Amino acid sequence: MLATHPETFEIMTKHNINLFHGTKFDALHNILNYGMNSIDELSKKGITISTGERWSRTNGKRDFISFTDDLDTALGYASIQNSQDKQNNSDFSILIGISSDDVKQMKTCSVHSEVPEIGVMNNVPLEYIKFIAVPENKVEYVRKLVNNPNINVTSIDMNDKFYYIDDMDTIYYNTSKIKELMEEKEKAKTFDSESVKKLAEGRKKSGILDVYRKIKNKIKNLINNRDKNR
Amino acid sequence: MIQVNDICKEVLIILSYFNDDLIKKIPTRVFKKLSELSVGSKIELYIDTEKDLDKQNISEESKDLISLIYYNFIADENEKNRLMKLWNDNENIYQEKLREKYNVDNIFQNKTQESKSLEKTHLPNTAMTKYKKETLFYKIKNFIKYILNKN
Repeated sequence: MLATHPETFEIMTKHNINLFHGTKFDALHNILNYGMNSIDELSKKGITISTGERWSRTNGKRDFISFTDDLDTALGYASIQNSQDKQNNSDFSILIGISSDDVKQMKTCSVHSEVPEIGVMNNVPLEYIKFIAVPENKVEYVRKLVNNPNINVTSIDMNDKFYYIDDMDTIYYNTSKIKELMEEKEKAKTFDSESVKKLAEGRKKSGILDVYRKIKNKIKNLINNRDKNR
Repeated sequence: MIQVNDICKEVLIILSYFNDDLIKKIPTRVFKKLSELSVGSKIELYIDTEKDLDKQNISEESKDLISLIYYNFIADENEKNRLMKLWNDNENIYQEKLREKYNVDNIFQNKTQESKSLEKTHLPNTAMTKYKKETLFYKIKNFIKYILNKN
């Protein structure tokens, strides 16, 4: 396998991560809260389906979650643009990895597809997710969101091409590509401290207090609802 | 009015465009809470990174929440004091503008001026004509006139 990012490659080999699912960041929230669910399972459980998950419904009923051992195929799925992406550039591709060792404990099904795919029926619990790869400039952000020591968040270039090798001794790290990725990260436009400070300077006290109260009340309501449901 | 879950989703999206140094300063619990509170939000954003953060097309509430996060976790003590003073000053300016806009005296003053101008405009058309009460004498006089004209 051509590994452009040594850390990513090491995580994959260390945890025997060899099955991948490509999706969009928009779907991550549900995944972190409920594990991976098929589109039909989400509907059954009454969980709001995100834009990232919704597109797969175009292929009809989906009561399984598709995984592939072909990294290129998974990256292809992760990079699929839906029609709403033109108005929404805040969504980005993510790649989720699990180990084939764990699949034995899940209910699987075969998938009639042109690409090498297996289907996991209904649900993949969060504890089986070992790896989430995102673009380099989103790693730190997603690490904060995931906040799970059992899930490795690392970077991957979604436009990269991968191929398999059998012999671990011939692992080849493309150093120029690594450099290129780092340079891209440097160039990526982000908001820095000055930019946020400028925004903050234009605010007024009543607005700040108002939003603080709104958030506080919402948290209070959530806690009350949870207590009632117990 | 924007809902809390939409505010939290907007802020989460904006945070994904913060540089790593800033993200590292914000505690994980903040991300977790924002993520929890954004459940059900269908908000989608187009972030133009060529524009400043204060020019992004997000709600005022989201801008306030981002500012609060900056105040709590990114700004140092001096910066916090300076920001608090600025927020108070901005509040005073805002309240002063509100007072001017909705000042009761101004409202009446404006009303008086308005009614005066209305009077000027409409008086010639609406001037009242003097009403003469028809006395018995006039009634007899008019009756005689009527008879004479008839003949």
